[in-house]
Amino acid sequence: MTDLEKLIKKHLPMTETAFYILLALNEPRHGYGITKFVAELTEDRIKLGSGTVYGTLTKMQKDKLIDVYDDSDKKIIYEITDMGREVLKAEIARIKLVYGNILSQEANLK
Amino acid sequence: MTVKFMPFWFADVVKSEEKLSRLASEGLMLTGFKPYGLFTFEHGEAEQVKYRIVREKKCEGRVPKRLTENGWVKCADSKHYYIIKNADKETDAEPSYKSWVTLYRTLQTVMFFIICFVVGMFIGAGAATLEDIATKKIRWQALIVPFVLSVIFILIWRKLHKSNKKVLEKNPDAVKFAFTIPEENFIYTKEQEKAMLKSKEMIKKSPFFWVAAPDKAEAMVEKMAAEGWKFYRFDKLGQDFYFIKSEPCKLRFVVDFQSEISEEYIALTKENGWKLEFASVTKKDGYCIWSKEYTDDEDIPELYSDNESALNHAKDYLKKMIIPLTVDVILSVLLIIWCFTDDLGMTPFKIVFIIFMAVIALEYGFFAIKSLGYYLRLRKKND
Repeated sequence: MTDLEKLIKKHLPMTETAFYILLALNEPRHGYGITKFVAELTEDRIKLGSGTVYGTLTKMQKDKLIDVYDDSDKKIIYEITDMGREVLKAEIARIKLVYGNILSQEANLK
Repeated sequence: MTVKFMPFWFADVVKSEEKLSRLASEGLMLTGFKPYGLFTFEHGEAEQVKYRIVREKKCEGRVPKRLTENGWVKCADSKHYYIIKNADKETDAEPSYKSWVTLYRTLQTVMFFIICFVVGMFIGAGAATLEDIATKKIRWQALIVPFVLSVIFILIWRKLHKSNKKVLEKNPDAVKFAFTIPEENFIYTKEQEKAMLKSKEMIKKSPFFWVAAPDKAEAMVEKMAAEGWKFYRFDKLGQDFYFIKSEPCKLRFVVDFQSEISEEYIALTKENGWKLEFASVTKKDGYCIWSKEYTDDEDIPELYSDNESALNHAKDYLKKMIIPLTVDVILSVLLIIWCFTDDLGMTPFKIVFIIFMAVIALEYGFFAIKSLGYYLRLRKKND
C-alpha cells in the first residue's frame, strides 16, 4: 500500500467537521477564516468551536494533509498539501456514491 | 567544502540564522545540516540572503508551497527541520517562530526542575558536610560539584530565557505571561485591587483542589457572572478566583486540558473571540482557562462544537492525565509494600520514606478518582 492509500484508508469516511475544515483549506486561511468559511458555506448550520478546529488541524498536520506558515502579519496560515487534496478528492468521490445511492433509494422510502 | 560544528545552534535560533546569513555574505553557502550541529557549506558567490531554520515535527523537509512561491529556497533539511533562504527580505509569507516559542518554554521548564533537583542536592550535601564537620571529617569539597552544577544550569536557563524573549519579539501576537496569566489581564494595580477587596467591590474565592473537578468550577464562575460578579483574574498559581461587582452577564468559562500548550493553540482560540484567563505554562501538559461573554440571542459558546471532538478530547484527558496518575499511585503502593517485605527492618529513613510515599499515593489517588468522575461526566454530557 502506498502512503496515500494508507492515508485515505485512515481518514475515510471523514467526520463532517474534518471534511469541512479540509475543504476550507483548499485556499490558504487563518484559523478563524476556517470557522467563518464553514459557517457561511453551511448557512450557520455548522459553527466550529476553536478546540475542535485546533484538534483537527493538529491531527491533519501530523498526517501531512496540511501545511502551516506565517503571513506578513505573522498570523498563522493553514493550507492543504497535495496529499491532503488527494484525500479530499477521495472523500468527495465517496460522498458522491452515497448521494447517488440516496437518489436511487429515496423514492422507495415510506 | 567547509564543515562547521555548532552543537548549541538551537539554543539561540535567531542568532544561528543571522550567522548563516553572515556566512552567505562571505561566500559560504549552506548545503547540508544535521540536527546535532553539523553544518556543511560550499564556496560560492557571496549573496545577501535571509535564512530561516524551521522546526516542525516530522516535516521530512517538506516546505509549504506558499513559501516556495514567495521566493524561499530550501538549502538543507532533516526529519524535523528544514533550512530555507530568501533573497527578498520583505516577503509576504514566512515560516513561523511559534514552534520555537513552545520548545524554549518546554526546555525552560525542564531546566527549572533540574535546577530544583541540583539545589536540593546542594542543600543535602551541605547538611551532610555540617554533620561531617561535627564529627571532624571535614569534607567541604563535597559542595563543589553541586555548586558548579547549579551555576551551570542557571546560566543555561538564562540563555534559554533570552532566546525565548528573542523569538517572542519576532512574534507580535505571542502571549506575554506574568508567570501564568497574560499581562494584559491585570487591569488594576496592586493597590487598587487591595482597596477594592477592602470595599467589597472585589471578592476572592478559593475552591479546594478545584482542578480535580473543573466542570464544577466552570459552573460556579458562570453562576457568579449571572449574579453580577464578573470573573476578574486568577492568582498566579490558579487557586484563587477574583471577582468584581458588575452588571449581570452571560459568561462561558471553560477549563481546557491540552497535552501541549502551543502558541498556535492559543492564537487560534483567541482569534475565535475567547479571552485567555490562565495557562499552566509551567508544565508541558497543562490546561488553559478561557472565557467568553455572550448575549441572549447567541448559542452558548463551546470550544468543542461537536460531540465527537468533545469526546475525543475527553479521551485524551483520560489517557494523558488519569492513567499516569493511576500508575504513580500503583508504584508508590508497591514501594510501600516492598519496604515492609525486605529483611532489613525499620530504619528512621525507611519510616520517612513510607510516610512520603503514602502521602503521594493518597494525594494522587484522590486526584485520580476526582478526575475520573470529571471524565465520566464529560462522557455523559456528550454521548
